[in-house]
Amino acid sequence: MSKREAIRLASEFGRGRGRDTRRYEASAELAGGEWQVHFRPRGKDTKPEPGDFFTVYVDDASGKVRMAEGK
Amino acid sequence: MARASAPAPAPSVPLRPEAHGPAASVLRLQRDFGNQGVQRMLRAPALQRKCACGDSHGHAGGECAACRAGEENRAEQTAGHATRLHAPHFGREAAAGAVGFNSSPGKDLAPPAKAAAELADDVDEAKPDPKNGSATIKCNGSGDYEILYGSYENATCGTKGCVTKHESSHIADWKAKWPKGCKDQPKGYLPKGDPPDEVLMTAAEYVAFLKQSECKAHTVDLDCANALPKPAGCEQTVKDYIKLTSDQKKNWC
Repeated sequence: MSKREAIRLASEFGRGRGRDTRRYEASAELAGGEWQVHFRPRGKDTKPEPGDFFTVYVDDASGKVRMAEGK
Repeated sequence: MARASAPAPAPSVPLRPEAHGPAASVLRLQRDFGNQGVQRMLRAPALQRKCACGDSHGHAGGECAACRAGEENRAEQTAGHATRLHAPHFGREAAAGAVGFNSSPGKDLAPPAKAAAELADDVDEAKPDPKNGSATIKCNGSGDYEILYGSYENATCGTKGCVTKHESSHIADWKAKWPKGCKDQPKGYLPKGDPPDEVLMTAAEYVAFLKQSECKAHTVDLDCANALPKPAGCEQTVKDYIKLTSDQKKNWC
């Protein structure tokens, strides 16, 4: 799957978990057969709290998705 | 003996059509039962919402578990519309602050137009439950900082202890910067360098401070995780926790 598709799937999964993904900017990298899509608060004027980020893992082959919350 | 006089005839009611709508209903109830009676009915538990998961104002009633289950289902369905849903796969990841499910080519659950509409609904309806979100720190309402574990609340195999070390590292940084940052502040407040915080910061300065704090916290956290024992049944949980902490650390260090 493409990077764009991985970010799209990750964003939809994040929204399903109650995250307003419009608040975040996503970056993705393919490592070990899965896309790691990292979401960090967007906007240079924002002051996020510790842990206000999350990662969605998208398996490149199966499409399996899981989410790791920030700390 | 004098007989009681016959009951007085009921007062005549103007023959005009009854008003309709919620306001008219309340007025009719007030007329029939009195204002205080109506107020008691409106405050009665049966008329209050029973579930307010994620609500930070304390309205949550006794059915939040059911509410959370509903949100879980909605979340799976939402992702499922995009990725074709298979059986949910909540397993070891949930114990380490992560959730997931299998999605692979299969049977579509909804036509695209309907799926899009339901996605839009979910964006508005689904709110992060404090027990499902990130771990973080806040003021505790008594002048000190506290840890909120979020989805790591029930982390197992010793990983919660590493989350505690992670968040304690943040608290140490916050206390160094704003020693009295929680004094006279309500529960849930967090100093970020805006008035009335004693030390003021621009957004860029704050983000640099946060980045440094996150790098330090992830380093402590990862050291803790790497030192965790891996007894039978905990190998994968600890391995997953090490991976997610390591992956997230790369974003900060």
